[in-house]
Amino acid sequence: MSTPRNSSSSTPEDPTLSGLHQFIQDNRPPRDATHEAHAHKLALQVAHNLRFQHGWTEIRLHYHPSRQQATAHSLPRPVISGLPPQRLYMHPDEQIEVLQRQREQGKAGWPEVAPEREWVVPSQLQESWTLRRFGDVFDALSAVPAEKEGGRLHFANAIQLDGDEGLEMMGNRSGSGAGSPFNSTPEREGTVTSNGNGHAPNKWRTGQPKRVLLATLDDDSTVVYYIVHDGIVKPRQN
Amino acid sequence: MPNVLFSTIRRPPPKSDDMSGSKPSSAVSAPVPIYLVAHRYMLYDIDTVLALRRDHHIIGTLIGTLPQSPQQNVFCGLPLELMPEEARLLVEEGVAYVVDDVQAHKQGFLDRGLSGEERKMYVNALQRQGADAGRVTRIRAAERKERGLAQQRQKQARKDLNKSTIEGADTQTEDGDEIPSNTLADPTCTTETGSVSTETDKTVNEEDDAQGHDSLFTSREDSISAREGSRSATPVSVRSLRHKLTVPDDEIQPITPTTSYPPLPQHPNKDAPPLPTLPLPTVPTSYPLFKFLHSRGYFLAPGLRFGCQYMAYPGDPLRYHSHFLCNGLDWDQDFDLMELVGGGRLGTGVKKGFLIGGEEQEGKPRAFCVEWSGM
Repeated sequence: MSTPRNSSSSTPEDPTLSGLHQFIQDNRPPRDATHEAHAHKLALQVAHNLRFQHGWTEIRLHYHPSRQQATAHSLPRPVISGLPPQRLYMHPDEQIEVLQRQREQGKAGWPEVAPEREWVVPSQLQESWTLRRFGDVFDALSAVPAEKEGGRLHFANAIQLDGDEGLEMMGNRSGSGAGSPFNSTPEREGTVTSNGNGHAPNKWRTGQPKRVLLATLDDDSTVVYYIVHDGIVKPRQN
Repeated sequence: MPNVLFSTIRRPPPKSDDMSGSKPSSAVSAPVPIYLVAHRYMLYDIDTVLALRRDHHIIGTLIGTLPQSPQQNVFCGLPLELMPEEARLLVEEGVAYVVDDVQAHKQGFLDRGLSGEERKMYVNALQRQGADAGRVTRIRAAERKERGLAQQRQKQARKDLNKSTIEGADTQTEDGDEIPSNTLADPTCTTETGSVSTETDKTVNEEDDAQGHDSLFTSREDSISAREGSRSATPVSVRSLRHKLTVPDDEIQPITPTTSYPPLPQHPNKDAPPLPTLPLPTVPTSYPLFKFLHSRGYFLAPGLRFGCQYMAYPGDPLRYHSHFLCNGLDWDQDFDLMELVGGGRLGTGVKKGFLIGGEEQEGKPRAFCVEWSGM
């Protein structure tokens, strides 16, 4: 990952920098973060990819372990959390349950399922990992990313909204603070929605082992994402 | 001389069709021996194999093929080979113990396991088996030749008939067809029957061809009858073979015995010194993961097919596809992320998860599953 040009001022837009570089310039790490600069920039690059290639929203960057369910003292590298536009992972047993419920209700196909907030752990493809590092990452994170933890990111040309981010591609500027940008009513009461209030957490989220998305950045700037579960979880039927 | 394998096991027929598992596993006396032969852990008894599969979900790999055509290996039979991890797990659980097979045989056959006269009796029994085998082979060869000759004669008779009706009588025939090769499986017979067939082609007064070649039939009356008339030659010779009691030495076939327990006593000689107990089988560093998955009820098979260490099946492999491709690692062992990516991709491509794991602390295994996210 090439380093951005050294510039004394970070906020004014420099037309010679690419969008990504400008974004990295715009988002400095907080002063209490102990991570190295390259780890921070890696996280930013992955966050940029999530936002603009995959349309994720509510992207936040975390430098400290989760306040709940975390047993580790520190987060070994900055971690991203965000909301994917569609549900990213459904456990195979949950798939069966959803389909059965559909059948009971006499409907065909898949219902609307609300997306769930996911953790993203950035990594470079040339890195060597150990099982201990995976263990440490999982130990520092909660099962579900909390809504208000972590730092917001400054995306250029985006209205700074509290918690929500209006997706420019949808042209939706209405994103009110507390409301969910995804107006699909969850079919099941147990779905975790983006605001998370008033709904019991999804039993498939809390009953199953923790999961993160491992983002692997390659030298050609492509990022590929893999789901890593902290336990033995049977593969999905694809 | 072809080497003939004879099995002296006489298995009783199964008493019932009940394979549902209500057959008591006390049919196999625990702990069962695992035979260590040249660093491989083998099992030879089908009851043991079934009991291990049913009660301890240890599958192993069948490696037995036909002795004469080992490349026919779509289905293999006994013996069963166990992975070192499987053997160690069984020993640690007290279900089995490892026997150094070579040592046990040496001790059994040489060091007072068998007395001198027992050994002599055994060797004579083997020789008798070899003689029987030789006789049976010869009888079969003679029968094949008889069939071939009969076919030959029929063909010839038809030809003669055609010739006589078409051209007029001419007993002299062209060179007869060769006896079809499929009636002669035994290569030692070809020169034999070649000369015999020419005999049947030519007229009776050309007998001198019959002399001077190696005859399969050693008795005098056989060669005489062969010369006299081809029709009665071979049936007599086969019959005479059956009644022959003495077999020449060069026709006794060597026997490789396939079982140890007719010569060795079923219960070991109490005076024989006990075999030294072997250490636990050495296993690779992935053993903690193996043990962990086994304790969760998975059936584990070698993962060479998918470039991983194990394949984990949620149930018997005959009923389920495997769920995971497993790699066991040390907790602090470095691995390339590319390997994880490769494993995850491969796993997703074949509808399996890629599982990596190890021992976080002594006795605390932990595993992670990787699959492609789809984005």
